[in-house]
Amino acid sequence: MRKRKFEWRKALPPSLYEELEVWMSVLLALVGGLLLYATLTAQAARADAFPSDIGAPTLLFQDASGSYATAAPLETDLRMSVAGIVARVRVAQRFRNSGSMYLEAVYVLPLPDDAAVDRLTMKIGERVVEGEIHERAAAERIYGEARAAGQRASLVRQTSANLFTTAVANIAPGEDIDITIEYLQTARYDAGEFSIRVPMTFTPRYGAPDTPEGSSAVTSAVLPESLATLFELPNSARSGPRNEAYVHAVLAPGMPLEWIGSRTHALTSVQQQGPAWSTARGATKPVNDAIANGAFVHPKPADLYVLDTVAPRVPMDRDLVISWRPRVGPAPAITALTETVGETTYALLMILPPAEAHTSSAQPREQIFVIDSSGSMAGESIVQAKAALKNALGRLRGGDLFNIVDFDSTTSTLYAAPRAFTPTAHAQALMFIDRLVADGGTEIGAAIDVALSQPTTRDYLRQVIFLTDGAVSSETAVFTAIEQRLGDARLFTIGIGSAPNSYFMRKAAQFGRGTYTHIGSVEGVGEKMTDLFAKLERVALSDVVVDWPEAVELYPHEIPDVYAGEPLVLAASYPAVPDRPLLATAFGRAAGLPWKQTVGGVPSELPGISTLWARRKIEYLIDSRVAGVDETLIRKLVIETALEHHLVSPYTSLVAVDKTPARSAEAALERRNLSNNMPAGAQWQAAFPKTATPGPLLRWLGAIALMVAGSLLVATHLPTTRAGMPEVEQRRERLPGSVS
Amino acid sequence: MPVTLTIPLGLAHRPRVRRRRLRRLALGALIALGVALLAAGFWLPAKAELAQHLLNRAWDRTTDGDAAAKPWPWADTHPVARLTLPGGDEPITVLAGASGRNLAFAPALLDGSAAPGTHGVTVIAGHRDTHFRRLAALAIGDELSLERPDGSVYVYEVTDLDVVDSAHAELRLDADESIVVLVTCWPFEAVTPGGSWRYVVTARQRF
Repeated sequence: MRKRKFEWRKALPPSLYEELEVWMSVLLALVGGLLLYATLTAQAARADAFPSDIGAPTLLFQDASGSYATAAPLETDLRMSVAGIVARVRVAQRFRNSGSMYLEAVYVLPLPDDAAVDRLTMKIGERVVEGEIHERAAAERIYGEARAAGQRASLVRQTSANLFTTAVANIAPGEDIDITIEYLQTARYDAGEFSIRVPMTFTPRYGAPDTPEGSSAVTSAVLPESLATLFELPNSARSGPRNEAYVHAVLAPGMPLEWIGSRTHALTSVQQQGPAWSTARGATKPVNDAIANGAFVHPKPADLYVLDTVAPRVPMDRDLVISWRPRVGPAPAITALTETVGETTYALLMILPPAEAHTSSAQPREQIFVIDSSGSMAGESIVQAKAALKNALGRLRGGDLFNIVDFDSTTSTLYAAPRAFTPTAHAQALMFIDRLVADGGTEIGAAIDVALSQPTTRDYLRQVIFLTDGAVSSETAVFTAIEQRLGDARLFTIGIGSAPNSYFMRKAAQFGRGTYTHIGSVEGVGEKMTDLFAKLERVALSDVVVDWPEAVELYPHEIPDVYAGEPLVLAASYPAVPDRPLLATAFGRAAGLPWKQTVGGVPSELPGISTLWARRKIEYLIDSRVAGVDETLIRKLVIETALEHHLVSPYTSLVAVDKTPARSAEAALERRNLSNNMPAGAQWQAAFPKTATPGPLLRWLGAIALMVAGSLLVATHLPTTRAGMPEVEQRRERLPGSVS
Repeated sequence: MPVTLTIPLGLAHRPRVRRRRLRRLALGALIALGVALLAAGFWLPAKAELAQHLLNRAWDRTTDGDAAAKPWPWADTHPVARLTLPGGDEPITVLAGASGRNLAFAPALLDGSAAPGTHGVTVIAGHRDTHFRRLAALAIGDELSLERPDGSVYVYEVTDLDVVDSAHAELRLDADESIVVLVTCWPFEAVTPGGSWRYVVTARQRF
């Protein structure tokens, strides 16, 4: 008996079976094609096998010898002691060498733009080496020689107004070296609030940097060629590990406070009675100990506020700002601090004109807003800037004239000339703002030209409001342009982003005879703009002069206009007379009317005032570059002042050398640049674009489809060819029956 | 393939017009699809090649002073540089803006990255299967150059060749020297687009 074979084509209805077969063949061809494709790609991938644990969130970089390396993260310990309006900040950074080579580490340290850096120490184990101040070229030579001799050495250089470079040579494998830098800064007072800003990172600058005498040209003449490159700013093109900091601050405000805290970081604050920390150089212990050492006398024990970050460590991706608000309404009219060194008394004065001095301005205004839409503004910064600009537009009054200038690599304006503010103009301005995209370079000079050369209208007070992160390198050129083109206009800066270049903001406003405002976050826009407009709408005190009973060396020489809510801060030096009370009178004009304020009394003695005075003097000297003062004269005077007061400046550096050699002459030294974190919210980094076309895939799929079609073609053609042979066809037709 | 060869016998035992139509329709559609896919697959490299010719002409106009010379009238981009890779081939014209559309025509300069020769990172992205196929041949120490529209030429030396996972890494655009980063997809021979690996060539300016 013949065994009956099970046949699918009989088990199913014929039409269904037929369709099934067509699709089965398509499916089979596809599966075959895909298998072939998968095999091929797997082979391609194997051919380029990558020998590392990729997937970690770091870019690995390979050196010429083929090994992979990442920079070690940097630990930073930030301690701050504030007395009144003077802060001494200690930044201790641990440079760790976890590798097997002797290491040289280079790190860009952003500091406040008015920081007076006066101390460097290098700690190896328990040994502490004090840094010495030298002329920059000499300091570089000392460092270079120590480096070559295998000695541990450290050098702090000022690379631009608020960027310093720390270099540490000959860190032995497995060794830690702690580098501590100390500086003094003054608290800023604005609209009833004191604040201190500590930069943690910086927004990369655009454009050619200023090249003051003392930089590369001199460096390469003094140092061997291999060393010269060290003093270039480190390349931070690689993403590095996250740098973190401990923050600890002790504040003796000297007055009852309504509020203290930070808007940038979560801080805990504990109030206690006790001795304040000293602001003397190198004094990091409480005052009592310092008194015991005979180093320092603080006015009196006072209310202290101890501030710590809530998280033990915070990422160094945004500036830290600590603010405090005195309880009594308008702050004290004067704060006077002095320090007597030898024959000279140094004084720091803060005079706050009463609010009545600034009456509302009746003069019609013309406001020109300049918005930076360069690439460095991408991310949260441009959102902040747009919000601030829209907020400002909302505050304009009918009858005001206004215009908007947008710049990146190129400059464009809303209108050819300033126009009256109307609802239509408002709508057009909002559309203009919405269309702004942050890209391109920061060609700030052209924007200043455009803003200051707008056609003027008689009797209108021109106020130029500049919104930027200040990520420019050629600062001096910009200041010169502002000074030369300002005329009767006033320039105000609004700092945008989590780490704006505050030096640029402050100086641009100084040369523009205006004032500057920082906006740290989108939430802070409303409040900060209210403060700024309070200044724009009120009369500023102008033509201010201060009369002293004796000859004083006063900084700033020319006193700037004083805006509502802001104090007048002066640093003076005069011959020391024991027990002489301080007396000075400020004269000025408010809306054409004379204004006068006398300050006097017994000032508080505080260490560090002489250093702050010297820092202001150096700043004044450097500023005179804009006015065209001879560079050699500036250099001579700056070096003189900086050496006397132990200060780092563009022409002087601190250098510390440990005499004990660490490295033998044979062992090689490897240099490593430690990268800074990117400012929070910044997009100065980019996602990778998609860089493959679907071409190969399309070609493969096309080939597979044609292959399937080809086989189906054979299938459909066979019956037609057989149609020409009817007897075969008929026989086949009968076949099934015969089988059954 | 035996399976497909048995089909004709099975289908032939009861011919019907409807079935044949269906079969023809499926077949026609499949052929059309195959031809279309192949054409599209070959059109992409052809377009990339053709675009370079138009771009070279636009480049000549750019160097003649037309700062935003458009390679074709409706283009919303313009040539920003010419990249010469080692090996003696024609320089490649680079467009502004690394959008998917621009990359189909030429390698493109990433928005926000530095202009060639200035401090910062100049990121140029290109397709691995067209213009940047040649990156596979680059070695450390090779020299490449970028020409700007003003005629200035900057020479760079390849210092790093990295493979990175773009899902985890980002491109940093800040540097205190002039750096060129050429980015393309990796592996070079892969068939499907959209993978997360990137081949990153870093070159530093040589003076």
